[in-house]
Amino acid sequence: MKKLLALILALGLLTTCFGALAEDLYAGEKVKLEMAVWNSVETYEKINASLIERFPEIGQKADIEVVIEGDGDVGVAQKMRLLLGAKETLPDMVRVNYAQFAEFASAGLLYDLSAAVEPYKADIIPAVLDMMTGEDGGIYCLPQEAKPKVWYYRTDVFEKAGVNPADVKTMEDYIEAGRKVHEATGTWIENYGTPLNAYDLMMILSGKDFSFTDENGDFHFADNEVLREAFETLKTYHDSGAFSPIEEWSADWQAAFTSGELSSQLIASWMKQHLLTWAPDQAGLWSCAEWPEEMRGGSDAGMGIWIVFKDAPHAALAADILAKYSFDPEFRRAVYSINAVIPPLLSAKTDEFYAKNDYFGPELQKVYFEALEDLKAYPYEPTFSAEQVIIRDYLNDYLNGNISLDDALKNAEADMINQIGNAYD
Amino acid sequence: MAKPKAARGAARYPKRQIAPYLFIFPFLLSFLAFFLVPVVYSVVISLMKYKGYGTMKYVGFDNYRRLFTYNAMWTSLLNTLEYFILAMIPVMILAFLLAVVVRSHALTRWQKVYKPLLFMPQVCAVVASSLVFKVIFGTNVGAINQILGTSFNFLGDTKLMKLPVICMLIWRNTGWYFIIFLSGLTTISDDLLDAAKIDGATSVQTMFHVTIPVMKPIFKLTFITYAIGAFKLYTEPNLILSKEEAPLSVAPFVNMITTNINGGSLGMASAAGWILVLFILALTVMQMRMFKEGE
Repeated sequence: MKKLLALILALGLLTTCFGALAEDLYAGEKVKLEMAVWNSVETYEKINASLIERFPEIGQKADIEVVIEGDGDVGVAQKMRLLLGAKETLPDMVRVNYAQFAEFASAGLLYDLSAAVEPYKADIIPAVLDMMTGEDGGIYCLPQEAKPKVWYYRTDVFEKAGVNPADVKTMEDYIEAGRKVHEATGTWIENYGTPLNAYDLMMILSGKDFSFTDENGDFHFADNEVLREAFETLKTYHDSGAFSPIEEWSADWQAAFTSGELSSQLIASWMKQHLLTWAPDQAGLWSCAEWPEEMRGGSDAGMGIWIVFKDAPHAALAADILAKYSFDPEFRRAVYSINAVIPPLLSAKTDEFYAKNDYFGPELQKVYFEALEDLKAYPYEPTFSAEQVIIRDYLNDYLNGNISLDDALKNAEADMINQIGNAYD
Repeated sequence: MAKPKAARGAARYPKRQIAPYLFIFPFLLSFLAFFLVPVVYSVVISLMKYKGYGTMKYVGFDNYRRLFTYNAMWTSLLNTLEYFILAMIPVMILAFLLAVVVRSHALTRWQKVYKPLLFMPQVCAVVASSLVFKVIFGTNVGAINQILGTSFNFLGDTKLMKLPVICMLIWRNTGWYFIIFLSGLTTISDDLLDAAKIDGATSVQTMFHVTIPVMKPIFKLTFITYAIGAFKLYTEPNLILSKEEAPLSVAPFVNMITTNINGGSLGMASAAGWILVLFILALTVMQMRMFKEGE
């Protein structure tokens, strides 16, 4: 009995301590928190306003300033390296992609977010929680958006062409569907114009247990069958004539969605935000499906993430705010209303709120969670940023017919050995 | 032996001896802090394996060796030379001809309109201009293809990708060099030109035997400054040809630096920076020799 009483007392004390600790974070004078993002601050500012509405104590304790630190994840990561190198003040919350996580995590630079995540842990999709967890069991990143592979398509166009995404199971089916849609409607179901982005390759590789390095960090891939097949697949798409020659992120790409020239996209979940902006008058015409059966699994860069550096001025406060930001079920509904990002929470899977979507319809929630079951990230090495520049160049040279497949892979391997040496060194 | 008068003055008034150094001290301090120390630090880093954080590992000249045996470095150097030469020739010819036309009083009217118009591309933000050129050269939405009724893939075909960048460099730089040439031409005395006229020289003869020889120092200055600027080319090709960094097959040399910073290899980035300095130095010496031989 005495032991039980002592245990209850100890637990009570612990709970009080943790409670006091959490409360302490929001005590004292108001501070300025910096949130580093890329491209645009507008959406983040809207989301932050909702966050303060949901958690007034955040507004009383902190002014969150959203700052653009690059025009993409690579740009933000570069800025962080420069700040770390110059020993300058780091932003409190940093948005990067999972591709950059390994570099900062392996260097021991990240703040352990375990305590802040603890209240929400049971509700997080296991595959996502696994990616958030470091080798020592600590949690070092939070999902801004999990990025499983999702196929977005125009229902009206596919109906007219007699294409049902569920019947498209193989690469050959996919090419055939592309031809059918183009013949029937004049639109394209995909674009494979060069230069392709590294993520086009990584979306294929991430589902197939491939790595550029062996377990020691040495580069060995010139004779790897998985990589060879991925290159050949993209070459088949590129040369098939069934897909548009437009390249991604060009002015033509956006215009092709706006005009309806592109009626589908085999990509990752993040594409929905762009469709909402680029083709707002096509609401209700778009839906989504899982990738063709043969190509499922994997992701584009795993997920968009938030990280907090150990040396950030208000790391503990930033961690607590970001945990609320990422997982509070009520707040996430507000986020969904702003940018259509569904949180990777088990409770969101059955939450009818996410089934309501004027643009993509109820399929968005269903497909997102189905695809999340296959979520898998490429095992990013700390030097992945350098690797992707090299492999992308040889991929595009190969697609344009400037180099043979053997030479492309052999030269890419030689360049990685020359430029990077060892991925973990 | 008697001391010189000046030395005697300095000994009598030590403050006078210190005063000049005090005047240049702020410059020396900033020179040391913002130039000399970073330069030395950069040399040191170029001999290290260093991510920008964590520990540095001494690797000697390995970073330089790796770069010199990296095909992409030579490709990027050739790309930079291509951007430099293919843009510089039209820029210099156009700018000089425009300056001559304006100076010759053939176009006396509307100077207040066309001079700012010619200079305006220099004032426009380079990022905004690059994004506009990206749209102009688009395959479907691009003005060029729409006017010509073609569908050239200027932004995706490696054989054509340098063209939009070169066009932008010409558009952007002509106005700047026009102003420099015009100010150079105004230093040529009217008496000299009148004398050539009285001697029976035609306009073309005056141009080749009077104007161009007198303008030689200006040409020297413009070629050297253009070359230095051209080797530091970065924004235009990267913004026009890509979302983040241009493919290595069309990338300028500076991408060797930024790609290595992106890849977390500050040592290699510093080494690439020093290789760039050596190339610029070699090119400047070559240009100066060429002008010297001409003299």
